[in-house]
Amino acid sequence: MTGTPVLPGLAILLPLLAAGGAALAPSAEVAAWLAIGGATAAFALAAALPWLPWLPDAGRGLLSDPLAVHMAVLTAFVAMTGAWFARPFWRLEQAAGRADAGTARRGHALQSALLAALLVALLANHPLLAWAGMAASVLLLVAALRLTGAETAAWRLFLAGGAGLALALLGTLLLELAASPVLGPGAHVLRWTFLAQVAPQGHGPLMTLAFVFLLLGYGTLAGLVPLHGALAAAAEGPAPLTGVLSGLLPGVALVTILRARALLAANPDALPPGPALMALGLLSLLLASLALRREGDPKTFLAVACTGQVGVVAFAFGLGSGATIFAGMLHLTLLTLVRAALAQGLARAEQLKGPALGGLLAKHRALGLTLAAGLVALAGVPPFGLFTSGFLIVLETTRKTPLLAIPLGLGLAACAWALAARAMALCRQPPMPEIGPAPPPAALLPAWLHFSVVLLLGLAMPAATVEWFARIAEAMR
Amino acid sequence: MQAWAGLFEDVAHLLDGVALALGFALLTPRLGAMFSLVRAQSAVAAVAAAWQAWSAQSAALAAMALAVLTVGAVALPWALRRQASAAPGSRDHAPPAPATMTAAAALAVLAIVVVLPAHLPGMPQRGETLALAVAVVLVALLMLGIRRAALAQLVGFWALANGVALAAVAVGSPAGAWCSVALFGFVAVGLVVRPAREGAA
Repeated sequence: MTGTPVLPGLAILLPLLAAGGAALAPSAEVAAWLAIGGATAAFALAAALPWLPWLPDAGRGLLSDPLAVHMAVLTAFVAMTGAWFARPFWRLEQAAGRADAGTARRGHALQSALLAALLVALLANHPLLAWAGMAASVLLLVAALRLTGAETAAWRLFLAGGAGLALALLGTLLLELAASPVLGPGAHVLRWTFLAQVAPQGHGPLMTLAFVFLLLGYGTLAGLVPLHGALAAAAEGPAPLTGVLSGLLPGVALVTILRARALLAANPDALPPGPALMALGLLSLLLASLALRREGDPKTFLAVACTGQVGVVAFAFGLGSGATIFAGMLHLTLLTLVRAALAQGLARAEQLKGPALGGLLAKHRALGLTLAAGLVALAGVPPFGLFTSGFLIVLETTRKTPLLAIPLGLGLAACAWALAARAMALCRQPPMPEIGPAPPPAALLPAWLHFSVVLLLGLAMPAATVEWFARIAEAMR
Repeated sequence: MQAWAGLFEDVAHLLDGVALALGFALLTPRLGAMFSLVRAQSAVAAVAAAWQAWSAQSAALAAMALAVLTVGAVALPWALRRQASAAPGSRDHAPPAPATMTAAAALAVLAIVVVLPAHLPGMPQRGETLALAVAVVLVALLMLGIRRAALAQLVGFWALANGVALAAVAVGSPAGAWCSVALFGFVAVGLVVRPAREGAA
């Protein structure tokens, strides 16, 4: 029982130590192994959390409820496979002369620090500490973009991310004010667990106002409209950081929105949070489905496609029933896995062929198939799991709000069509010259590990997993 | 004693009102004026925090006031002046002033209309200061949206940090106050990550 509060703390501390070690390491190779060690240890610790008894002690500094634990396991898993992927990635970059040893070392250090910051944002029981974790994540992503000279993208992320963080901070302050008549003064009482207990007695109108700012602020970091350009800009940096790990930021932001939504839903005087969340989600999906037709650059295409799927998750959370939150969490989990795998495959392909990927499938079948499988999975085509979660969301929408099922279905179909067209183009394009060595098949293992999980959850979800998602949905309803 | 309490509230409202007026003035296209105005707005936010710290006997708010004054009104303006010295008297492209001012006024009215009725029972003065702080935030967001030059955008973000600091003062949250000071740290980072090739237009 006593181990429960220690493990989440260690899961944050070890990657942080690995980041410090990597920054001071004598070589990029040592830094890579430190990053791998930190991320693997964080995953092992996070994976142990579901098996420990959950102490519903509201006063603790770190959360260990099913939602926080689930997202921590997912984040640490993606970071771990990302660290395995990053070592050969940076070696190839050095061999090609696109990065020196110092850049590679800093890249590994930033990767570990980003994992620690994301885990703080997920596991912190204090909303302001969670905000600080998100702020650190944004700054680390900005630093990652600067690492490869993507100055304009770094500036765009800085401005949009900073504005989002400012709005989220304002929302958190309003939330504290709304709960203050029940909680009493003092920052030590502001905890997610306390807030969940007192939300029904909180000041309803102020809670509504707080939710609006939290939705706009964290929605920016999740990639929801109206400030949705930040994450697309982040795609331009080095793949292990901005391609793989930036895909985790929307999940962390959406989870915070989901917590705020649950607080608002519990208050009888507050306006229902669902319509605003559904509207932003649907608009994000429709905007992404239109933007995908025009997007040529593969990295930005992936970022925009994921923005649409994040919109689907937000829409599902907005519907607010147990079944839709179940489906939304499943969709978010699978999307995070698919996005990270696709970003890894895309980075390998670009190291081989540059931005023009023609002829990939004919000459490098394993790599071409990895990318094609990722695009098909992201399109929500069976047997991959995103079909299951998407189908559940559409089904529930048809049952609860039939009229909204039409734009949702159209948006999903348009996104799927654009992704399928991109997969077909990958197969049909004429061969282009190669600029680097072909990756060994073993280099694609992390991506295929992700696809295996996505396939498993789509074809035959274990009963224990169903029960786990149901617990999260029940707690957040 | 009641007269003193009334004075505390009046001065707090006055300071927030001055910060909002400075937010409107920040919509000017002249970069040099923007730097002076945002510095003045930070100083007003620091005085508002100090005033609230005195009235509530809060050490955390007093420390926040000192931090905002040091970072927002002294260190950042000094660093910004050094960066902008290469382009004296330059202007940023901006929409016509009447349209910008109308939009800013609409946002300020929206903040007051939405926040004032939502105030806590028994604490109307807190609702008024909060409404003015939210108005400063919304006007700063407008500025951030309409600016093209990186330095002008950074000033917009700085004004946003000032608005959030005023909101933290209105709420009286010590942890929130420190988080709002962290936003000034963000502005400092912005000075470093600002694209080197893009100067004032």
